Amino acid sequence: MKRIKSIVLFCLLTLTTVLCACTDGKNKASDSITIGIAQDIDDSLDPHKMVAAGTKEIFFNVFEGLVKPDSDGNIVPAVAESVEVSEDKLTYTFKLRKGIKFHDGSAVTIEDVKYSVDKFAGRNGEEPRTSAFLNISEVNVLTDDTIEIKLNNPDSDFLSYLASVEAAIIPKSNANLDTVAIGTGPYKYVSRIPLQNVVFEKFDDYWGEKADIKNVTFKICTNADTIAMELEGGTIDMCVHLTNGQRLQLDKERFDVYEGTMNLVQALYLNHEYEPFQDENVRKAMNYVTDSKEVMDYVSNGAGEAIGTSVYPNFGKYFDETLVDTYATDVEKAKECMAKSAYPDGFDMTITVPKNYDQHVDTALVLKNELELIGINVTIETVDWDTWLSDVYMGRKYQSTVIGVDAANLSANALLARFRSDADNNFTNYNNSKYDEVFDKANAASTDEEATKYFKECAKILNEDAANVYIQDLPDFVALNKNYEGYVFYPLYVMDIAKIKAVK
Amino acid sequence: MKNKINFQKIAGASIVGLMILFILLGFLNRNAFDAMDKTRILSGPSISHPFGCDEFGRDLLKRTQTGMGISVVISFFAVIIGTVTGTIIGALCGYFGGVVDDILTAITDVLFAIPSLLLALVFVSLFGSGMVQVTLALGVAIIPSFAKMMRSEFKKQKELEYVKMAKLMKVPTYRILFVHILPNVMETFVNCIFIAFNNCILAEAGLSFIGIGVQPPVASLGTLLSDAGGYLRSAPFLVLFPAFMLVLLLFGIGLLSSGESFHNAYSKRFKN
Repeated sequence: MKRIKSIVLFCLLTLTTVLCACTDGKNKASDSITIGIAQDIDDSLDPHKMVAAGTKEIFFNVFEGLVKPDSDGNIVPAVAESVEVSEDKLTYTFKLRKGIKFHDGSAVTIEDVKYSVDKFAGRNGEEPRTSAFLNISEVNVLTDDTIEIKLNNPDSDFLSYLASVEAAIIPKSNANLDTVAIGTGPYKYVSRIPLQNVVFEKFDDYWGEKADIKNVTFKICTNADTIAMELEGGTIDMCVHLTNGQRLQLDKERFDVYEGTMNLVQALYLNHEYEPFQDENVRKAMNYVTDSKEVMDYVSNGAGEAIGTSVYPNFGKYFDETLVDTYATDVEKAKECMAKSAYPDGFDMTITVPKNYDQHVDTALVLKNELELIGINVTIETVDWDTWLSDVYMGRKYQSTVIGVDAANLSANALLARFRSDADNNFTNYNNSKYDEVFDKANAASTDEEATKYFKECAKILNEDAANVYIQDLPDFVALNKNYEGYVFYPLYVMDIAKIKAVK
Repeated sequence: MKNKINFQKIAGASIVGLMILFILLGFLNRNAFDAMDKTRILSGPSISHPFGCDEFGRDLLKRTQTGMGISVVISFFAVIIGTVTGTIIGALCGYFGGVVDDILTAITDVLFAIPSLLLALVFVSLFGSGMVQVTLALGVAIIPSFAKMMRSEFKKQKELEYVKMAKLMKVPTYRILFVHILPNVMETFVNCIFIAFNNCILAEAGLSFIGIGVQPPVASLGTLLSDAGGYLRSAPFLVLFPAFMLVLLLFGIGLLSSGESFHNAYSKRFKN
């Protein structure tokens, strides 16, 4: 009898738990959306101090610089209504947008702009946000609505540096920068509960096209295994950076999966200090035998964008698509190259991969099978992220690694500077005097066309020299509940919520 | 009563036997454990691939067979390391007592205070991950419990008449320890081995599950399960088959080691 009672009790308990879960996800008001994010926002709320990519990704909606990037990779005016660049490329004159307001209701004045520029450029005694801002020689307020920034040397990427959360315009009056976020973007910051959520609200006085959804809640979902379940269960409506496995778990009837790219250069990076990789024929053979299409097929059902050099397709004018097919897969050619090299019988190599990135580990597995076709004996070593950073990236003690390298801003330097032989982030120990020469020419160029020409040549050298085994720009999957639409990808690591609209 | 058949032991032995047969049959399986096939990605069980294929189109049957083989080999050697060292330490402590006992017991107590999985984790983080490291780590992790068990057994036996007689007859100490006493503590000894073996298989699966252990593309039961976790909804067979085999193996060994069965087996000797 007692047993039956406890069974009944158990069933009732289970039923209550199950029914409780049903309340979420239905009859949700269309003026709010919950977005899952992978990490807590425990950064400072001062845009000039934000470090984590995940923080800057969502605060893109709150803060704006004088200019900002659009989804096509162009730089468009934001807080400034227009910008004029002088003949000698040394003076930038910005005209303040009329009637633009901060989230606290106060108008943006030219003093706020000067204060912000001085702050992020390190002109008030603080550290500049990037060393590129050290190039600023003068910041002068000309009239009530114009300000000029003077440079020491011409820099064709200067506007790209300004088009970032790191160079946001903030009010001078805000004394609690670390905890109170006031900007000019389409959303204003409301509150944050550590390890639970961050809340944004639509800013009604926004200067541009106003956002559609009123309330935005970012729910912190640190457990990657439960994200698909949370989407299915309705506790979150949207999530970015899904893996292929997570994508496959979603119900196609209820979710739109947007497919873009992660904006990084995934490659088998070779340490040029390791002897076999000093042989150009070996590197070429490796490039010929690897098939990036096959990698994509295995790792992400064929999604992804092939690349041939250290520039990804969203980089627009710097991307040269003819380089993609330089090393079209050809096992016979690869074998010929190997025969010409100093290692006709192959050699041993280790691929060190950070194990927290499934896509890189999976890529290494496919590469192992491919490289074995030309007698290269591959051992895969998985390490944790900290070990990877200290041993591979900083210490350069490795033979080869699979990783994705991203760009901090839309300037070619962000991707190509690391291959200059004396660059401190040249973790592949790449050393090519011709590359250094062309790279210096690109940075010294006075016109944008000339700089672009040289940067493209740099990319071509990396390709012709088979510096690394370039694979792809990884696919990025974004799941959005069908109650909403309009997610757009940017060529940078940002999430634009203002463009998302509720359809029900 | 005398001829009572021990069903537990028979069931256990046959399950373990089947599992070993399953692993050995892997050598006849012609699919390579790391051969990828684009056309078979996540395809379900079929005649040519009875367990189905994983996210790279690799044959899951072969992977489960090699995976289980690796788990068993790791655990086997870990248990050998653990038992040999543990028994020697325990025997010395229990038999000699005094300062030797105090020092060695203090050391094992310290090791005992650290959970064995954590101990293995520390070991792996110091010496890197890989099959050899995991085997050593698990071996070291089971030393303390073995030493403790053996110490108390040897302490008990040392006071018995036959040991005292042997001492009087000037039998060398190592002979007393391992020829005279050890066979008399066999019951505890064998049970300890089986329990340790079970724990090792589980701990290895646990270590591999959190990503420490054998390196891809080689898989053990633990890595097979952790890799399949993401496909639980779309391809549940990826989890079901390896998990079922793991449970069966543990169940078989568990039955074998069940204290009662050995008590029966050995009490027979005294009855006769």
